[in-house]
Amino acid sequence: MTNQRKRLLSVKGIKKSFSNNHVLKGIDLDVYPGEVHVLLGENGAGKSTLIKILTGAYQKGAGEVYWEDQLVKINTPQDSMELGIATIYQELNVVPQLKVYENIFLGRELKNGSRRSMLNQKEMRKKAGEYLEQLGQNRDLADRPLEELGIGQQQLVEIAKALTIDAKLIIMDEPTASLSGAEVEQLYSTVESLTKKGIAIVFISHRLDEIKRMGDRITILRDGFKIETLDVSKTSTDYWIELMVGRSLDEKYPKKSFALGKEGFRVENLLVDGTKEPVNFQVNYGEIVGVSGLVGAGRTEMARAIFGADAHHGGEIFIDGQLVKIKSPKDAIKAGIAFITEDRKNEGLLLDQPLDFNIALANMKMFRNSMQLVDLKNIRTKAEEYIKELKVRPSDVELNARKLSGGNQQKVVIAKWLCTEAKVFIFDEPTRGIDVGAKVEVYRLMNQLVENGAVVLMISSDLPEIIGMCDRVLVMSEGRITANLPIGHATQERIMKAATANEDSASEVMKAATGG
Amino acid sequence: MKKRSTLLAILCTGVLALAGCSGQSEEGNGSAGNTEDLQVQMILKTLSHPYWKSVEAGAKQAAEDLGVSVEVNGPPSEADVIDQVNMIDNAISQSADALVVAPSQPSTVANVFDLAKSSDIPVLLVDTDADWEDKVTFIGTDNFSAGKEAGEYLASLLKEGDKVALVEGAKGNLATDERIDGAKEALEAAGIEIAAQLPADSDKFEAAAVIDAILQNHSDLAGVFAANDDMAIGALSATDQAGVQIPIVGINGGEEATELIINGKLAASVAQSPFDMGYMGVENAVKAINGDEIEKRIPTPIKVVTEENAEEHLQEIQ
Amino acid sequence: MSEATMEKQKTARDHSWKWFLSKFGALIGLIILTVVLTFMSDKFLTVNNIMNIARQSSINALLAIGMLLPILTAGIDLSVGSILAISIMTMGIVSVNMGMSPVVGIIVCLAVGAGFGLLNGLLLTKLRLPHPFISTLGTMNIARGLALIITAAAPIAGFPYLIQYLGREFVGPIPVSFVLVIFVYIIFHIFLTRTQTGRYIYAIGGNREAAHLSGINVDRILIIVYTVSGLMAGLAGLVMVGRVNSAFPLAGLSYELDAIAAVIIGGASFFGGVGTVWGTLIGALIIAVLRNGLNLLNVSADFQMAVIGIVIIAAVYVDVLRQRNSKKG
Repeated sequence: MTNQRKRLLSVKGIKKSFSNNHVLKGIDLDVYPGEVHVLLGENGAGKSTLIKILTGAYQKGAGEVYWEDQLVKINTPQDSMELGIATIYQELNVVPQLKVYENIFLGRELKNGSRRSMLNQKEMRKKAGEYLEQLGQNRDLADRPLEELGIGQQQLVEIAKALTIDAKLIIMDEPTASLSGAEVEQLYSTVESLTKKGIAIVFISHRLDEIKRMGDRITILRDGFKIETLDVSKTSTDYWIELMVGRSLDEKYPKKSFALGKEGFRVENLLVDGTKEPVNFQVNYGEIVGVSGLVGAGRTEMARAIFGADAHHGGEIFIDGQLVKIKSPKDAIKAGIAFITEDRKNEGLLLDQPLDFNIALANMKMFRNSMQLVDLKNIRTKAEEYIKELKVRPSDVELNARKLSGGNQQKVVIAKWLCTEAKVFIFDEPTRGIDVGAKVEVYRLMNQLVENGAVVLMISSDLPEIIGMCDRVLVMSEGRITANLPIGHATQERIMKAATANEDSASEVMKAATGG
Repeated sequence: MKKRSTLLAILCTGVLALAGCSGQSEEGNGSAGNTEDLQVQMILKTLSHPYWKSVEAGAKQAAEDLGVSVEVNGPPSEADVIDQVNMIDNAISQSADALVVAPSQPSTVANVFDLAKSSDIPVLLVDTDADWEDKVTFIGTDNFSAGKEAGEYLASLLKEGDKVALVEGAKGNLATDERIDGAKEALEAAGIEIAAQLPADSDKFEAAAVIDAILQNHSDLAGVFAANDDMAIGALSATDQAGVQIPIVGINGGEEATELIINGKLAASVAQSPFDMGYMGVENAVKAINGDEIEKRIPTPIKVVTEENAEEHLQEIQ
Repeated sequence: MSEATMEKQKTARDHSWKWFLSKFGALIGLIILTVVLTFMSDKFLTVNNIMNIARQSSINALLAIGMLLPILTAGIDLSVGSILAISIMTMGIVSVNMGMSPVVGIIVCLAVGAGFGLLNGLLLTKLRLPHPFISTLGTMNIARGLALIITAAAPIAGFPYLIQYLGREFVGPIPVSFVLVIFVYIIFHIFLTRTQTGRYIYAIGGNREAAHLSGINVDRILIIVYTVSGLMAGLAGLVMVGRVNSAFPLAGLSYELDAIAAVIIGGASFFGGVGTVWGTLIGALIIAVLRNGLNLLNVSADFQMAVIGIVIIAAVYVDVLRQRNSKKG
């Protein structure tokens, strides 16, 4: 059906290299008006580079770009914008301190006709309200400071911005990565209404279920090559994965079950900053416990409180039934807790330090020799062991962490915590933004940890991942645990219901959940 | 590739900058050093002030007249004391034939002067003296005489029994103290009454405040002597504000003060001779190298700048 | 497979290029400078003059190695020049005015330096002032003010020999002050590369939050960092007093800027986490060689300042290029 229509964007034989590193080796891509075109590929396959060429951030090395069948040159972001291409990055391009309408018109402010230097705020407010209304929002939103909005609404502001430039193509780079379930639903319907207007969407995502739901066509990239473009509805996700990784994966979720052991970790009456009701739960040996909930439900805050990273008010933590006092991350590490944070770059790694230093960082004590000096050779040997074990690529321990892809960076963070010889592992969104191959490796590693006698707690917003990998799931809402479900009883619907529970309905859900 | 060439460009620029500046100085050295091999190194408090430029000009003039080579150096500011010591160090290791120094902080130069002595390099001081036994001489204004001349001029404008105020520099500043002593002697000899004598730290605003206070107690004040120009100018602003017109005399003969003399605002200022300090510094350095006998203390000329000769003086210092 | 080998080659090549720039950029600069100056002045490359440079660089070298620590933690210490002044003025009062033993004087000098450094650290970590720029700007003024107040701005001269020893004496032709510098730098090298605290300093500068979450007591390390910086200011002051046998309240005025320049020329990053002891030494030597060389060539001080400015900008630009290069890869 699409073939009869006029192509909106067509790129042919795009190549790009950085010094001698060939990132794109000849990409073809056609995008038709009104379609949702998904780009799928492992990290480093060339998706981001392709997007950056289309938005004018990079210059292409070779190849041609056609816009509505006209050969065009995109040299600057300005060129791209003038054609009608808008991009919504994972990290939103907004100014939190400004109001919504000011953000929408940022850089393209409307001026008063007579006095060119004066801003026409009334008109901007009105127009912004109209665009927001088209996106199913209240027009009053235009006047609120952006920082008061949730991530989902901030994203809508970016989409409204795209509408103001009459964008015909909106590129979205992992738009759902930081959204909660309800916000994701909102985005789906927004995308639907955009495509109805004939706007094309180029969509980057790692979430296969989401692609299945939203996408019309899918283009799979691998190692800088375009592998194939497929109709989403006519092909299976397993086939995509096979094309994407170049081999078939045994399983998406390589879950291994072990015999449930005794209690390894228990949290009692922990009051997380800003919540009224204390948190209580325990994790046994032999199981992986998931923590689900919407963004802002207090999952990360709870983990940070357990770890002593932020102040917490009361509450006790037991490891192997023994009370441990935790006032700082130092205490937590001493007690045998590892915390693999959500944000690798800002909380996990020293990006400009070599891998061996990163790996040894949380347990430097172990590497001190009799003179109290750090044994550099020992660090190196140990780091090399972990790098080999976790298959970190490239495997050079002297390389700075910045040079690695997201998946490999995550492995280095995990290696750092393995190096502390911890007993309790708290993973916070361990697979966010990493490719399918690396995800499977992270899952296998969790299995291995459990097998070797560690306690594993995994915070995740990815429901299939929770259902696929965990034995039990805790659901949080507004800083409280609203459900504690064995995985056999946990359906996506049940989890979502508990995750959206408010204070009144909480006990009811709790009852229903544990009862069912 | 691109990065490498950029790096190269940076390095080249640096080298060229060096080459450019050294080229100039080599020329300067060449023309002066040919006639004779003697080399005098002059290190001043700084070169970034008209007063010191004038000392430098005097030294260069002497170099030309005597056919010796002179290098004049000084740190960016008078506060860069250690920089100045380093410069003296460098001059010694370049085996200069004589050193002429105006120390920024007289207490800091003794150690490095000892070093010069052990290398048999004669050391002369200009403008500011230092407490170091082996100096050849100190060439500079005789502050007592400067004060005395200022006092005599002020007395000539007044009559016996008139009251004057003396504005001192910072407590413990030898130069300004000597000027005050000189002025006091002259004024008292003429039968003028010293109504008040207060320190103002060589600062304009402090001096204005001091004179304000004195005028409160002595409405019949007939004249002011300030130990430098800045304080004289400060005193003037205070008397102007009070609507009093009395003669004010300062010391230095600087540009601002000279212009105020031309405008009839200040009565006089006793000018020092920075040019002569530079000239005599080099002249005596050559004598010292030749082993001639030199006075331990050589005063440089002073000149009372009044309405009569102010125009002429202004042209000279500019 | 080909991808793997390519990756390997790429990292090897990147590595050598980066290695070259970050480790040897400053050294190559110093060598070029030395060669150029040797050609331009026959007085430059003499034993006498080299020893002059060694001596003249020592005060800044001591301040700079102290400054390296705050800069490694993505901080700054603006107060070192003023701390130097207050340290030597108190030493002067104790050992000259009060006539106490020179050993007491030296201890007082170092203790006052370390004490003001400790104050910087406490202001930063306990009062939670937003940036060390602010806390050290405050102590910079406090220390300078006190240095002027305690003797009513008068200089103190006539220090005992023992106090003058470090700044004045020679071991053979080598100034004791430079021997001290080398000794201190070796200690710092071991401290920064081989002790837990030293490694933590790099970690905090590289990523403060990651360091905190890796169990590092960030506040404690920062307090150590600023205390050591202050201690080095005291030690630099001791060398200065030996050099000129005099303590004066305006001593060390704006020396913090030279120290920062040495650290930055030496390849340390203002964003923290990157920088070495030997780079800093080369940075301090480049500044001293430039001053000395331009001095020998009779280039005016005003022009010297401009040249040093150019060198700072060039050095940091090289760092920017390196960063840009490594981020792209």
